[in-house]
Amino acid sequence: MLHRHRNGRLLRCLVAAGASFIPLRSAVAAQDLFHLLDNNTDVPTLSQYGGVGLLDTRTARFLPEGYLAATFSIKNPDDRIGFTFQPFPWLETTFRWSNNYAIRPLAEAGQGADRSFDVKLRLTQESTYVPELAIGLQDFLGTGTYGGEYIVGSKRIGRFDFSLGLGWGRLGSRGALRNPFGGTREGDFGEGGKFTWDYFQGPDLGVFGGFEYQPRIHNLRIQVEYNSDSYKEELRASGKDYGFPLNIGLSYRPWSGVDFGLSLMHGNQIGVRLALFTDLAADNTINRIDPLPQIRPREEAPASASAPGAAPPMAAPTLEPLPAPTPDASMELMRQALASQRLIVRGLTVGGNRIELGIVNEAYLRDTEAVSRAARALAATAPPNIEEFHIVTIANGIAVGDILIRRSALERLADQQSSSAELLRASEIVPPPSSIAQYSDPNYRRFNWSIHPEMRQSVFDPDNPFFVGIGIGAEQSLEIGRGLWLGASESILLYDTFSDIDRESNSTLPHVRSDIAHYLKDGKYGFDSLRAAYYFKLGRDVYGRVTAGYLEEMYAGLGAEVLYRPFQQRWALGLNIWGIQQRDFNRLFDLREYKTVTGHATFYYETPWDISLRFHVGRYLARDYGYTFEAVRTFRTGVQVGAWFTITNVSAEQFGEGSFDKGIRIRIPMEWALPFSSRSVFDLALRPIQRDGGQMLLGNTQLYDMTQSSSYGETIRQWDSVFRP
Amino acid sequence: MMRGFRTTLAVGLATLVLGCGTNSDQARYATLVWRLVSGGRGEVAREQAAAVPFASIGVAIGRSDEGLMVLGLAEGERQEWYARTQMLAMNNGRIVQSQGLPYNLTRLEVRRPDGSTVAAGGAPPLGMDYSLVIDFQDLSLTGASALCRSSDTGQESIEILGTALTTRHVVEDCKIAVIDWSFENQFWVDPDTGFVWQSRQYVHPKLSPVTFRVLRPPQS
Repeated sequence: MLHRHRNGRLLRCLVAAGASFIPLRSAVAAQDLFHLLDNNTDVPTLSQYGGVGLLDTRTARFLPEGYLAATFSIKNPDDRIGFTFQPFPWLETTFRWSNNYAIRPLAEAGQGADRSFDVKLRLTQESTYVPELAIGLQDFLGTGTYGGEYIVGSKRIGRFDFSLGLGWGRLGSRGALRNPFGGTREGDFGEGGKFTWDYFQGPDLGVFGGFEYQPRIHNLRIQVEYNSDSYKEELRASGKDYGFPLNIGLSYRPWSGVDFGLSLMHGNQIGVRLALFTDLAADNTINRIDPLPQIRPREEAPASASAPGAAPPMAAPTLEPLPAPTPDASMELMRQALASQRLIVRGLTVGGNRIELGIVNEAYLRDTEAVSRAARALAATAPPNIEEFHIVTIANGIAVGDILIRRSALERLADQQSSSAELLRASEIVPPPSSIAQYSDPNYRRFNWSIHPEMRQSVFDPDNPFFVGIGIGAEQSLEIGRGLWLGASESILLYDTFSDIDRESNSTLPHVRSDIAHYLKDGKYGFDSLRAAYYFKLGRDVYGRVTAGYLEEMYAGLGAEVLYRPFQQRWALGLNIWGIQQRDFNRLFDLREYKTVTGHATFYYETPWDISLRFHVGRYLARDYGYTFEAVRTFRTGVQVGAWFTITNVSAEQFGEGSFDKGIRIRIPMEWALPFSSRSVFDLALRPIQRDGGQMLLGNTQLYDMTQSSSYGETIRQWDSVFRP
Repeated sequence: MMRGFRTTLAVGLATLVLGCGTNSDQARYATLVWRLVSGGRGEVAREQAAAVPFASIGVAIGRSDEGLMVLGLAEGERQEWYARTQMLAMNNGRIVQSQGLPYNLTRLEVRRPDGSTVAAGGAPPLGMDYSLVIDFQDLSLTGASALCRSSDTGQESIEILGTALTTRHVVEDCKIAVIDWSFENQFWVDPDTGFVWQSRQYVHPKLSPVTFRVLRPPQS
């Protein structure tokens, strides 16, 4: 009772302090513009939990839609690394790795580390009299170490942004009020990773709150909070009291996208926080060093003839008239123009007033951009009698896109006499042809290779958030017949920290993935794949492939995939089946004993809201049966953020920690981060923990992604951004 | 806006994929790295300028490559210079409006202390206090007043497309108190006619300064 009395007094002090600031509103000018030029004025401060908040408590504020933030927080009793993504204006999602030093001594080795998910939903937006309200679940799928729920409101008054909230679970542990919902909370979370359905239950209800103040110093915020989390588990486990409820801190944003935080936590602990955030939806094309070339109407001189000589400045230039090019010269000009756009010509022919062009795009993330560049290159160099550009995009020896662009419509766009929508209307997007036999350019390059730095990582292991290996990788591919490929990829690690991984898999299932540490430690040099593949089309909308060899880092075998993707439809259906055998840890030619057959039927659906859904049903690597659901948000920049979960007939006890497989995926195209075009992407899948249930063969579904960039829907989606004057 | 984090991310990601091969991006990385290291920027060449039969200026934002803009409209003191998707409106060399830049100047007027507008615009008036009245639509800021003071730092020779020009170098220091923003504009002015041959002006607090030089002046 004495404890509660003390807290009640503190709470009253806090409310009184907050109330005393209210008169200041009139003193602050209604149009206080001092902070107008601060960095990222639309981005609120991120808490030490990762999501938007003050220090150890949340507010009802949200990041702008499409923002991704990474926060690194160091303090006693726990360090935290959080990734927060804002897929919609009303939804905040956080994945967090934390290491709680206070709880750790009582737990088994590594059990102090925790990986957890949070969600926060906006209930109301702020208006003159109504605060912004939000409801959140903290650690709702993890082991429950940080499990708690809250409802919080935020209201800005002048330079103050006040927040007040109610907390349950851990966030009600200080127990200011009696929980009107009553009930009890499950103390034993078992393997964790499941919905416990005891949210907002428990005997106590906590009250938390605080404010953020903007002093007349640019990019600085002062934060004060009263925390309803008493850290009683930490007190019980370590005997150290982290329960002092008042925290204060400074947050400084020296550059756009970077926050530094310094705070006094729990009365006597120093906390340090670094937050990095960026807008995944922000268009970066304006900064490219290789912008789209200008569309040249026919009456203009071709690009190669634009050099007028060393005419003096400030004087009228003189253009030498060019002789009319011969047909061969025209073809050469077109080839050069296409090559200058880094397009690989698979076939180029002229017939009547039409050019038939087959291109392979290995330079641009979006096939539509490759088509636009091809059309621009042809417009600048094709003979004047050519009116139609028929451009087929080809991937792995099969046609995946087919567009007819009318040159006069393109020229009207260049003259700003029409719009990209009118160009689209004048163009024809048709199903790609079943055969590419007509595209057989003698100069087509069939062998490709690359050498690149290699980085392998194991992230958010319970013992360490980041194990890394750095080395050199190489890839080769050879097309030995139309659609028939040989391919290999190899890597050598020069430096790594994998030898520090000492956790052995305790899985009772076949170790289909959980021996990853052995592959990382023993496979420092080897090949990831060595395989033959044949790609083909069985009809207008049916794509197929057969692949055999060393398929991925852990498996070799033989298999096939078929995709039915009806033209102009949002849905597609795929089937794949693989007979596989596990590879040895050394990533060379040896095989282990484990063999199985795996395969899935997959239903794909593109929603109108830039969210792709995938539903897989089938047999997984550990011979378990079940389904996987994936949802991925794709931004116009090509950045993708998504999540998945897999439920199989493996029980939670058999599965082990986490109960079932789930995770989030982030795919960042290089051309979004760098100022030039590239097809390279950085792909990261984050799981709470790697187990053996619900695991698929890597690369088991490839055809959908291969056809996606040239699909009708994606072409329409990207059209405006690549067809502009 | 995201430049700091982007650069950090870009360097990290570039480290991951830097390499070579038939399909690699090494030439682009090399170009990028060279630009970062050398700090140099591409300028409009003499031949390029000569190939355009219109009055033209070379324009750069911060350390960007220089692009060419041509005179599209001359009406009284106002001149509008156009690129493909950008427009700069000037009043005798003073940028008074921009469009198509990442951040834009909605309106600018030069005013004397008595509030009257300095019609001629151009280089800053010397020997008097004056203000710039500025609108930034994206900041919802209208009629912000920048108090300015300018100084003639003396004669300076500049070179445009190989031609040496003798100019007066005028520096203008301004501050918009309401948003706590100070900036410095520079003008290289013909000592006889007052024509602005080259200038470096801020058009928005969130944008690096716009630098332009006149490659082919308008016919009077």
